[in-house]
Parts: sequence; C-alpha cells; structure tokens
Amino acid sequence: MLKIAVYGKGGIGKSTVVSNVSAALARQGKTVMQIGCDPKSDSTRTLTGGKPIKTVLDLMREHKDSLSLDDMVVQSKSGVFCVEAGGPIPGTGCAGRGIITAFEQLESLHALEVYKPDVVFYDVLGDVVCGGFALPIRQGYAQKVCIVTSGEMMSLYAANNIAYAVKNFAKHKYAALGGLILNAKGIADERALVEKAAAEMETKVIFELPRSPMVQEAEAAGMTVAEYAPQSDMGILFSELAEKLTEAPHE
Amino acid sequence: MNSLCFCSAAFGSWGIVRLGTLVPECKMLFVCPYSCGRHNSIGAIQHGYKDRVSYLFIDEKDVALGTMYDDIPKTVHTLVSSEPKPKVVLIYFSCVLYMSGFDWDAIIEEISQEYPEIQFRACMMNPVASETSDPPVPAMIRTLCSLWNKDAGSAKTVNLLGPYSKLSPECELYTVLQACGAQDLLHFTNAQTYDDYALMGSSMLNLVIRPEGLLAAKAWSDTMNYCFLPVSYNLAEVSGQYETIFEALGAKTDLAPYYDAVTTAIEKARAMIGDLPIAVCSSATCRPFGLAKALVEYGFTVSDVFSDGCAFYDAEAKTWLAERGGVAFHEIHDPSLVEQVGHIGTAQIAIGFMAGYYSGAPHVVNLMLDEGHFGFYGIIHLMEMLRDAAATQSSLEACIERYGLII
Ligand SMILES: Nc1ncnc2c1ncn2[C@@H]1O[C@H](COP(=O)(O)OP(=O)(O)O)[C@@H](O)[C@H]1O
Ligand SMILES: [Mg+2]
Repeated sequence: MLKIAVYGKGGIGKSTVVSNVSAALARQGKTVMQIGCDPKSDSTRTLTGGKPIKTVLDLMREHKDSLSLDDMVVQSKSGVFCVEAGGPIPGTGCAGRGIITAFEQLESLHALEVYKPDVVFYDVLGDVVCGGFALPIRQGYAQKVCIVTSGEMMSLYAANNIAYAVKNFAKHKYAALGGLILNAKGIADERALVEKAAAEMETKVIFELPRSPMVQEAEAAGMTVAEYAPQSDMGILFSELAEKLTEAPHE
Repeated sequence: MNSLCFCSAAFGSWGIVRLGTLVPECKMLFVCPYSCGRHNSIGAIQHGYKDRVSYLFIDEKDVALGTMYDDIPKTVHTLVSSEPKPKVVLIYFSCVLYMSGFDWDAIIEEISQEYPEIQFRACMMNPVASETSDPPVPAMIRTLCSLWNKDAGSAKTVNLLGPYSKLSPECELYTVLQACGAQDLLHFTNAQTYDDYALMGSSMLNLVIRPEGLLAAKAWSDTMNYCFLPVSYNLAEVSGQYETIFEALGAKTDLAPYYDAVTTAIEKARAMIGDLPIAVCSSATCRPFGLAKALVEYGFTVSDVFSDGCAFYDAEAKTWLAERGGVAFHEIHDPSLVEQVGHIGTAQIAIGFMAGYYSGAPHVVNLMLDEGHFGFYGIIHLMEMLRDAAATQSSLEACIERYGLII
C-alpha cells in the first residue's frame, strides 16, 4: 500500500491536484482512498459532484456510539474512496487534535484493512505544522511527502516549513520528502524560482502544472478534469503526474 | 456523562502510576507539569515507591515550543546512568502532551536504539481517554504485559490478569490448576527480577478475572489463549467458570469437595446477619449487581447497589434484580447524591468503601476490587468478611486512608 501525503499552503491547489490524481489512478483500475486533512473539509468535493460529504468529526459529534465506516467513507462516481477528517466547530476546539482524533477513529474501525486501497492520499493543510497536522508524516502513515507550491513567496515559505518538519524528524523514520509539485501561478521566472527553493530544501521539482481554465470548467461541472476531459492537455498532465507519484522506487 | 457529576472520596484506587511499580527493576519517569508531579509524588510516598520515580517537568512554553523532543533523551541519559541501573524505564506522558499530538513512539524508538539493553515504554496519563475503547488502566496493563518475553518458549503456567495483587494462597484455584496439569499461577507480583517477570510470556493461558486485564489478554491472543472470567460470588457461576477453565486446559478435576465449605460459610454468615440490609458497590467488586443477586439468592437482604455504570457481564443480574424489586440502584456520579452522603438507602452493612461512604452504614466490609478473591474461596472469604464486619463498628475514614485512596 502506497501512502502519500500532499502538503502545501491553503488555496495553492492541493485538493485539485490530489483529486485529479486520485481520479486518474481510479480510471487505471487502482483502488484509491483520499483523506482530506483540512478543517475546510473540501478535499474531495470535485470527486463527489461538488457536494460535501459528512466528515469523520461531524459523524462523531452526531452519533458517538454507533459509528460505521460506511458513513465515513463515500465512494465517488470515479471509484475513489473519499474521507474528510473535518474539524472542530469553527472558533472552538483544536484543529490539529481534531486530525488525530479522526485518524484514531478511522484506525479503530480498520478503514485501510477494510477498503484495502492500493494508494492512499492524505491531503493536508500545510500552513500549520503542529503535532496534529504532522501526523500523516509519522511512521505508519505516509511513506512519502510531496509539497504543492507556486513561485509565490507565501507558498514557498509554507513549503520550506513542511520540508523542515520532514527533515527534522528524519531520524524518527518519518516519511521521506518526495519533491515539490509546481502548480504555476504564471509569475515571471517561476520555474527557476521554485527550482532554487527546492535546492535549498535539498529536494527537486518533480512536476509542473500550468494554470488552466480547464480546472475551473471541470469544477463548474462538479467534476475533476480527469473525469470531465481526460484527453485535454490538463487531463493528460494529471495522469502523467499520477504515474510519476506512484512509480517506484518507494518503500 | 454530560451533566453535573459527583466524585466521592472513595473513588480512587490503583492508578497507572502504582501499576508501574509491579514491574521489577523498573524506573519511572514522568514528563508532566509540576502539579501532576506533586499529586503522584504524594501517592508515591504513601505507597512507598518514591525511590523509583523521577520527573521531567514541563510548562506551557515547552508544549508550545516542542522542546521535549530534545529534553527527554537527555533526561533519560541521566536516569539510566544512575544506580541502580534499570532494566525497564516507563515514561509517563501527561495529558497535555497526549492532547497536543506529541509523538511518543518516535521518542521511545530513538532512546531504545541508544540503550538496546533497556526496555522503554510510553505510558499515557490521559484520563480524558477514560470513555474511549482504550482507557488508561487497561491500556497500562497492556503496556506492562508488552514487557513479557514473546520468545521465552512455552511453560505449563497460567497468568492471572486483572487484579493488582495475587489471589489468597487459600484459594482453591491453585490446587485446581495443579490437578489440571498447570505448574503455577503467575501474577505480576510473583516476580522478583525483570527476567522472572518476562517469563510470563511463556505461559499457556491468560486467566482474566477482572476487566482491567482484557486489553492485555487480547493483545496477546495471537500467541496465548485467554479466558475472561470476572470474579463471581454466585455458586453456579463459579462452577461454570471452572468448566471454562477445564475446557481451556483440556483437563478437569472434581469440584464436589469444595461445595460443603461454601454452603457452611453462607449459612454461618446468614445466621449471624439475618435480615440486616446490605449495600453493595462497584469499588468492592467488578460485578456489583451479580454480587447483590447472589446474596439475595443466598437469603440475605440487599437494600442498595452503588455502581459506576453496568458492565456487559453484569447486565443480566441487574435486570434480574430490577424485575424482582426491593433493591435501590444508585449511579455514583449522580450529583443529587451530594446532599445525602452518609444517609443514602437503609443499609446496615456496606460491602466496599463506596457503599460505606454513601450509605453511612455502621459496618463496612473492606473489600476492594475483589482483592484476593476467585472461585469458591471468594464466596467463603466474603462470608467471613461479612461476619467480621457485622461484629465490629468500622471507621470508614480510617479504612479509606489505610488503603491510600486519597492523594
Ligand atoms: N492549475 C490550476 N489551474 C487553474 N486553477 C487552479 C489550478 N490549481 C488550483 N486551481 C484553483 O485554485 C483553487 C484552490 O485550489 P484547492 O485545490 O482547493 O486548494 P487547496 O486544497 O490547496 O486549499 C480552486 O478553486 C481551483 O480551481
Ligand atoms: Mg484543500
């Protein structure tokens, strides 16, 4: 089972990238599970026709004692098993702790043993790298961490922070840094800027996605590009990225 | 529990800290704020294990900055270099670390690599997890059992899991097991050295007689069978439990010789106590409703049951009592009890501190957590305890203090 955590600044395109890659892999016949780890809980929305699904924490709030895996894991039309960790009631609680609690809940119901996915994606908000949001990097979770970034300073800062967490915990056998995914914003010299930042983080840019109106067009239709227009330029890029992310070598 | 609650003075018992002392040649390190340290160091003095505990105090800053990741390995170094050298180090993490997503597994792995000759384990001081499927005490016992040696071969011994002390030497279980080919009944407290302790991993059966030992038995169930037989004071149930043990061991012995002594003990107690109303509670036994039902069946008068919920294996007895009527049930966290502490119900004899505290009964049986009890002996000894209690006026306060319930 290949487990990949995708981090990055809020709004940078993590969920877009992950959902498209998930859908592309599902098209190839892979069993994929995508777990949204962002209190915004919108990781899987384009997979589920634009409709939000119930989050693990919502379900825990609603029925404390009788939780079933079927309520938490929703299969998208494209076949992807979608999960949203969710968050505390906005303005209360602790979002990081919320991720831990949601993961514990999934584990206690043996989610991975039941659905046996070939690939698991953790789509994680990367602005805050606390004990909770770092959970997917830990031993037993993702083997590999990829960071989505553009050439903008803010997203490179966030990327650097995540890279630091991964490196800092390398001695604890945490996930390894799998590289940066450049989701371009169309700023001058963007590729070079991100390459330079990658070198400073001792990693590489493994893929580049251009900004494309096709993403919004598919989104408006309540779909991923991988489903809406798989043969479009963007559709082809997403399936190449899917290949790249799941190819050997990985532990 | 989602409303105002009441906590009685008789509520405490063995916590996860005192449990750690059951492992020979082990030192305990607490990573916690001062106040938790104060609490458990007083406990350690009261129970006589102050020399085995050390502290790494943390404050809000440390939690915010995550400095424990560096401080713990340094502290462990000091601890393991000081005499006597431990074979096991239990590191207790307080709930602030538990809540903040601290990665204790990573720390344990790091220091285990540094000191391969020492066993390190993370222990959670996380009472916030009490209502989960992984409550602190059963989880702690599972951790203690994880220190058993998996590769110690196989011995014809049986482990006793659940109670914190061993069974009374007078309990027939020893003889019965021997007659069934088992060499010995092992309990944490038998072991003088860590190596002895680790040998419990070679036993052929885990006999779980209180629910606290269940998680541990389940964790071992791949390589060691277990029977869950919560201590019962009901004669028919006790016989049934022995049948289960016979099945697990594939051997049996005649139980007939034990019955007479039980009947005699019951008759003697009943003759002395007559219709004096009795209260039962969940601090005395893991099956308060079962005990109440057994007493009623033996001809005693039971007036009250004080309990903290009702375990699945006790539910049938509760229904039986409810249908029959005549026994009042009290949920111990009910805040309306506050006003009437010492005057609840009509009992003259209380079995357990909790029942004594709430009822104010002048006679208290100082049974705690079914200590020393199992099988026919459990019934016989309880009957003796009832007679002793009836013969003396007891000071509940002294009992509670002697047991070290309040820290
Ligand atoms: N390559 C792209 N081209 C065009 N729009 C994009 C691209 N990547 C992301 N977006 C848009 O950016 C917005 C935020 O993306 P999202 O994946 O939700 O970010 P995140 O999950 O990182 O918070 C989305 O509305 C999406 O349509
Ligand atoms: Mg997102």
